[in-house]
Amino acid sequence: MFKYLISLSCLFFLQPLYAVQPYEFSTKERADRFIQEQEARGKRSNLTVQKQQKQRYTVLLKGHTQWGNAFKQAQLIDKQGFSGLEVVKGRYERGYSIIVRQSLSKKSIGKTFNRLRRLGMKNVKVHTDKIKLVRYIVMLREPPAPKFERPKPSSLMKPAVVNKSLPDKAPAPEAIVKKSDILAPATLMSKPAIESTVEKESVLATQEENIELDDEVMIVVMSDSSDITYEMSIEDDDEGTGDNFEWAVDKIQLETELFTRSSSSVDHVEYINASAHAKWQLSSNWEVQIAARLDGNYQHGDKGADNDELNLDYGNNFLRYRDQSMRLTVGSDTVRWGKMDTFSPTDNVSSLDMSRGVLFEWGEAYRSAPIVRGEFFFDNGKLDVVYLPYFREAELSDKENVWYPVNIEEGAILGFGSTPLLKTLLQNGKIDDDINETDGGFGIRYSTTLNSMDFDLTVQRVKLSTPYYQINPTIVANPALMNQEKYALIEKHPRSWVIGGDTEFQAGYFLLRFEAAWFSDLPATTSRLQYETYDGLKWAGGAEFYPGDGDTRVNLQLSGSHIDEKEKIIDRDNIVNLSGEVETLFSNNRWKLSGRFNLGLDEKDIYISPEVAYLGWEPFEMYSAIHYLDGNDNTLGGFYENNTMVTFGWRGQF
Amino acid sequence: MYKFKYPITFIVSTFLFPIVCHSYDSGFELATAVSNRPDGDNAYSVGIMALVEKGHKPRLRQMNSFRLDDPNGNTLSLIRFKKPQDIKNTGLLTIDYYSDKDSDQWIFLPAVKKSRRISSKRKGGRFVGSDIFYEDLRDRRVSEDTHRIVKKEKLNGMETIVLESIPSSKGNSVYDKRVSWIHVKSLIPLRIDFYQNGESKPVKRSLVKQVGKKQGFWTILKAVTQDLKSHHETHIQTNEILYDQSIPSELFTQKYLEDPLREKDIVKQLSRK
Repeated sequence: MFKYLISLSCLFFLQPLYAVQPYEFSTKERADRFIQEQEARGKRSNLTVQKQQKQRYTVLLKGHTQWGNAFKQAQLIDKQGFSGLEVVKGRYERGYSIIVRQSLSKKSIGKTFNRLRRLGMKNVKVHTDKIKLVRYIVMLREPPAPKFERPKPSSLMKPAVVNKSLPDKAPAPEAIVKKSDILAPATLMSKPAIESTVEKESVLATQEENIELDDEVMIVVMSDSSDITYEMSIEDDDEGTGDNFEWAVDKIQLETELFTRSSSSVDHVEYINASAHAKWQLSSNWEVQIAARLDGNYQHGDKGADNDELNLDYGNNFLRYRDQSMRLTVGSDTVRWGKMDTFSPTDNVSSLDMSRGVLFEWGEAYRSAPIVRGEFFFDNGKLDVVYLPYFREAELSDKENVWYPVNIEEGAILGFGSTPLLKTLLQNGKIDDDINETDGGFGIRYSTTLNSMDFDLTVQRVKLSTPYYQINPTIVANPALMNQEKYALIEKHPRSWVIGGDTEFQAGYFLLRFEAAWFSDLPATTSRLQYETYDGLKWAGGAEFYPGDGDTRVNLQLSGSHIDEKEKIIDRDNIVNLSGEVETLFSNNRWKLSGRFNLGLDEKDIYISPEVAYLGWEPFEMYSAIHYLDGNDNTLGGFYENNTMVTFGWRGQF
Repeated sequence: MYKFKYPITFIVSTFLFPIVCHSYDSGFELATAVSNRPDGDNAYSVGIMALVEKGHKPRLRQMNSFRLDDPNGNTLSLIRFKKPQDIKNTGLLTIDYYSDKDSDQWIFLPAVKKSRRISSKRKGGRFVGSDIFYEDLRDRRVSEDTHRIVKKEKLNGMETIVLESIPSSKGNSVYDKRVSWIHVKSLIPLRIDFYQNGESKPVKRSLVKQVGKKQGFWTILKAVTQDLKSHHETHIQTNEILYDQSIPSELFTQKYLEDPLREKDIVKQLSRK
């Protein structure tokens, strides 16, 4: 009795000191976790289990005496977007009823009810019944709110203003719990809770008997400490007006490049790149996009090697129309044809980006070009028609940049190597790179899949975007005029017919790709230094696989280029290369080790580039790479061998 | 074996049939029942994949998934990544054939603006860096494993049958064995232990955290796959799911795979429902 009185008196005296706040949970595990968290903060709590009865609302379409009529009406409203319908007999009336929706929320039921009424359904009824739910109530004793002393009003302030602006009580301490854990403070629950969860098998059975169609009832089957709800702003495809506009930074990259060969005139380069786009979807058929990119290249080295470049360029800017059978694009875009990664013989309607030589990742070395494009879809195929109203040659860097394909100082051109004649020509003359404004041609490609093989066939009449340098024919005819001629070299982009195809299919654990194209006009220079074009063939075959069925990807490619010359040429008339890439992730995919290579099989031509990247700081990556180049003068590796470097960079998208 | 293809639809779903008291005479019968568990003719879901590693911030990916069982018995699926930006619009199109024909699978890479085929023989690779292997993404035929009922066991108070499934031929799976705790009433595997490389202990475990009944179909709403060696975890959470909607078969073509805006209209129509 004495103890009882003491307890009672304690309760009596403690009562004003602690505010008792009830919190309601759907599972015991959540309630326990909440209790543990609060106890760690010195708060006291009690847990009680309540079995509650809740009102359940069911929207019905009633009054059918025949199943067929009920089914027809169900089909009718199904077309209006109501799903999960069920026709039942005898549950709500003697005849047939359609269950449209069940919920514990009167508000959501009201919406369904009104929607059906607006559709002209006069037999809409709402049925109510009771269901049993289990709730876990935590009575939390909150410490008293700190006493809040109202400051004395300044003699200059009007008391009325002070009273209005100051609360009478300090705000109650906020409970630190996840919103998703709590259905609602029990005292505030004037409406039935939406969620209901149970843990015990026996209770589950009760639930199953009572609730068959309610979408909003959740059941925790298993739970432990790792049961976390992840919050992410869901990109909704139906968000209203904001849904029709999007923008993004497609890429941002900062890189420093340290040149390692003592023979290189350049010590280091700092490179910055940023590209972004904005897109409006005007309707389900129409779309507009604007895009731009910025490239900055700051080259430092010996006297004369310094060079700064900052270029703003257009990206993919287009107006696009699409319907079920076609997609039309007018503007500028990057069109990628062909199946191969490193060397794609049928990919000639796109414009290459050669401004950074080998530093671009394969697949990145393209620039947007003006196009009119129609893609027409058939049952199992697609016809892609591209017209290039304005020719865009490959993007080159400044002539002083280490990646320019003509080395004026050394007297060498990429693919030719260095000769005394070229050295004299280049040191005394300039390069005419003023391309006549003309159209770039057209291309047609048909794609289909047959027996798990993807096929593409293409016919193109295009100007080749890769530059070729013709020795000024006036100088060739009369070398004495060398000093009088303004230009020593003239940039050429021959227009060529291209007929080709590609295929991709699976063979066991290998994915095989083949691609070949015949060209009517590939440029060459004869031993008489005459510029000519000849027929030629470019081909490639590749295999992609994952050794040991693991996470390491290997992609190998053998490619060749052959010119069918009619007289001796100084170009390489047969080129065969083995190229590829290897990529693996490690340390729980937070690190990536990759490598690219290109090896000449007919000439010494070496490019090897291992890279390590840290991916754990999403959406950014930090990376470091080695780019090693070596080879004969007339090869890519030999021409750029002084550009062997180590790079450190940061790149990302957001 | 059973379907545990939650990365495709984030779900394993079932009607609560009157098979509550059904007893299974053999592992094959149980595996067949699990495999044939109704999950609608088609489904659309929005979900989050979280790659969780102790001491690091979880890496989140949002995915929209579509699945369609066509009249020929083939299963078509399309997964579209919506976030983060570096993988946004990346799509994975898979056609699992009813016949013995190998699956067709293509991936669309927005950065290179084209889709490319993926080897459907690939089983062991990790799907987008998660703990889910490519094999886990595909339908696995019941006949590809030998099934045995091990025992009945209560798992967190739930009545389950423990089913052991061993590949009938070496090489048709990256796993040596799977042991599944099949919930008797819903036929949902609440826990699966994966064994590899002849080890006596499981190397990976999948646990179902929450299921919900959506349009009458039992659906996994939360699941976790744990790498028991590295303790890396992949959490899958379904935020929205709709069954038996008007999803056209044309969605599961390269036309849609390579043009993410095309599916926007379909998603809008689904979201209005």
